[in-house]
Amino acid sequence: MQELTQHFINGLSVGAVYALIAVGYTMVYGVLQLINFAHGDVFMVGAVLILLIGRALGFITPEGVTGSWLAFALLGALSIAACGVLGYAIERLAYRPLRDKPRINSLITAIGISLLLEYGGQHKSVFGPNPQPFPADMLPGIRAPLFSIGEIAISRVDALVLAVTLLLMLTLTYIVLKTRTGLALRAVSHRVDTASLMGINTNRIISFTFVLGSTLAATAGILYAIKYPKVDALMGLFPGVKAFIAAVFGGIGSIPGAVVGALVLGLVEALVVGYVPNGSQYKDGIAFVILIAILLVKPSGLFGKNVVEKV
Amino acid sequence: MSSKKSDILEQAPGIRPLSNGAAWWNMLRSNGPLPILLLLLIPLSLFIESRTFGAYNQRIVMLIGFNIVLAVSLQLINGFSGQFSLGHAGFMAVGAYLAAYPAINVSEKLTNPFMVILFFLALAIVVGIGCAVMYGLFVLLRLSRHLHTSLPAILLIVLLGWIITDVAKGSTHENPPIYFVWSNGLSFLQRMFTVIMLQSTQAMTAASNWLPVAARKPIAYLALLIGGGGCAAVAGLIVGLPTLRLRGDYLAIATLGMAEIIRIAIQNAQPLGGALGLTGIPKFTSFAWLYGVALITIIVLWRIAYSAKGRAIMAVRENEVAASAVGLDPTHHKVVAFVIGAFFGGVAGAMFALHERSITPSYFGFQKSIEIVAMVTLGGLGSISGAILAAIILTLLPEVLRPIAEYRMILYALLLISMMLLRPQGLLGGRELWPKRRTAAGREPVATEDRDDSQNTGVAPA
Repeated sequence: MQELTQHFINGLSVGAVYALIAVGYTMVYGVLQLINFAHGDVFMVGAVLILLIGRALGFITPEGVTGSWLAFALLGALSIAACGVLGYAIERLAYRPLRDKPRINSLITAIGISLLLEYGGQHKSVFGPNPQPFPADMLPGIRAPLFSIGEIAISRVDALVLAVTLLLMLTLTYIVLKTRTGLALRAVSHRVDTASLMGINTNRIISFTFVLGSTLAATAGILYAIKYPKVDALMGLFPGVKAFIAAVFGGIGSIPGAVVGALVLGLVEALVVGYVPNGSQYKDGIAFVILIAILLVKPSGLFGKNVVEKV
Repeated sequence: MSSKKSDILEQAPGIRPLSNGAAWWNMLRSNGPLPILLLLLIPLSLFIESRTFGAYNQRIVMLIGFNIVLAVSLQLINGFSGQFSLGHAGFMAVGAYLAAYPAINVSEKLTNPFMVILFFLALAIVVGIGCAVMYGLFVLLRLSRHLHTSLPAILLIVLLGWIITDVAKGSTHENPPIYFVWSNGLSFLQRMFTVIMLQSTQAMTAASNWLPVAARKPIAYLALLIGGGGCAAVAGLIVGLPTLRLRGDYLAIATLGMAEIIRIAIQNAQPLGGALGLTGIPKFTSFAWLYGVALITIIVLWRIAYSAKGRAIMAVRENEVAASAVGLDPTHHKVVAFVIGAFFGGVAGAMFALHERSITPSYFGFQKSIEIVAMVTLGGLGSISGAILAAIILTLLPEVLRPIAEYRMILYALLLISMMLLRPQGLLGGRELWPKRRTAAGREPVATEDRDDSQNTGVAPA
């Protein structure tokens, strides 16, 4: 029972990271019907930039790191802001010129952007091909358990991940449901041309969606790097694909669906690693099995609109 | 006046113009320059494999050959049927591993072709039984919408597990029941496979000894290529049937996932060498073999792509709704293109394995798939000669740019992006370097020629 609870908490915190990425996928898909392949790499850039900015500002040196929550928050904010700009640039330079072209073109461009970020990051003048340790020591005491009930210990890492995710989800819900921009976003994702007839600046809303999604993904990258204190240029590949699967699971285009899908996926993964023999070797394959199963049984996902496509 | 009349007759629907030359001459002309190249292979291979050409150059020429087969076969899937697949390296891996395993273990250094054939037959039987059982369960589960009607299926699973457990003893009861049934089912099939192989070894070896010595290796090699390709085709069918119902971007992710599943499965399969891969594969692929197979691949795919079937496949790509309105089954045509593409991808993998002596699962990763996709995109979606051209360019490019080889993948990425932004149709943009098809009179075909297509595509239900 104790073991099960531990797996459960672990799965929930991984699922929360997936949820932050999945929301970005689902929002972009909602407004553009495009799978933003580069989204998982924005997640990676978020984690890598902390390291690079920290080095540039002198918080992280080969001798040691400055142990301060405030300094880390500053680095995090810079990195997240930079990723927002990156998301805007990707949309503006790569996707907008192709918006009225066949969808396959945008898809190939998205793959290209993703490769550019991955292999650009792997180049030795940027980050290098080898994984590097993430300076989680900048957060003093992050490894210590926060509290324990009986023999179940909840670490500060997991608590931080869950708290940040919850906070961001509440903020996102507020933005989408209560603000004028959110209203416009929902209108655009309902139907782009009608929304633009109603006087909504659709280009602005689409850019906003990309910026919002990218900042969430960058936050997820930072949280993931704190949890598994390691950074490398390809770290975005699997979390990115899994978050996409989570978004499909929940019904692509639906924000609550993406969150639920991501949490379920995180839990299933943690349980498989815990209970299936040799489970950790199959960990990365499970998400794909789930994807195929979903697409076979209920392609619209848990909360997805049942769009009847005349085929 | 009279010549004009014969023109009209030739263009009448359903009537192929009679050839006015020798059959072999028309055959040569209708396939462009390819058959002539086939005749040039032997003298060329003498030059390529000579010492003056050099081992390094020879290796690049071989790499170009593998990439041509891969790019052309992916062109059928991505270019002609318009189904954007990101998992071609997965099919290549299936072909490579399922040719390398029998080549090492049963072929006695390729001298026992009948054992190779038996291996694939036994594999077909065992996998067939496995798939039939799975499919039966799937149908039963789908028939039953509610719990009480799905009871027969659940009972059947339990019964099956119980029977199989009796047959294959020796597993512990600590594992969860579903896993238990699964692993015992697998070991049951494995045992069956071993029995088939052991029972017929003697007969097959005797039969192989009866063959002339010079014929043994080529026959074994061909059997390995066709077997490896066939396994990849079956993999393509299993992957394609569920995923090809999906649209563009879903399909891309699903094929990417399938290729990853294949790679992870190979990585965890001890008989296939796990993460270390297989070593000691006999080497047989030579320049003549590789380019001979490549030319045959190009001719076959060319004939498919520009046949009535190919037009149907392209029609589905252009507009599924319109295609099904004129009686073409979209799923059927997509799956056909996918399976044929997977077959030749597997053949390329098999040739690769029998050239490299050792293979590892990490070679067949996402990066390899992207390389092939980059070739297809650069050449232009829907152009076979474009894919060939791009395969040559993209294999030579990193070699020419040795000093900046570390930028290779970045270059691929920039190439994909700038291609889509500046010239989305690729180098050739759906055109070919030589005419698509000629009638005997040397003209481009007229559209009405393929009217007889309707009989093999079925009619959509009203």
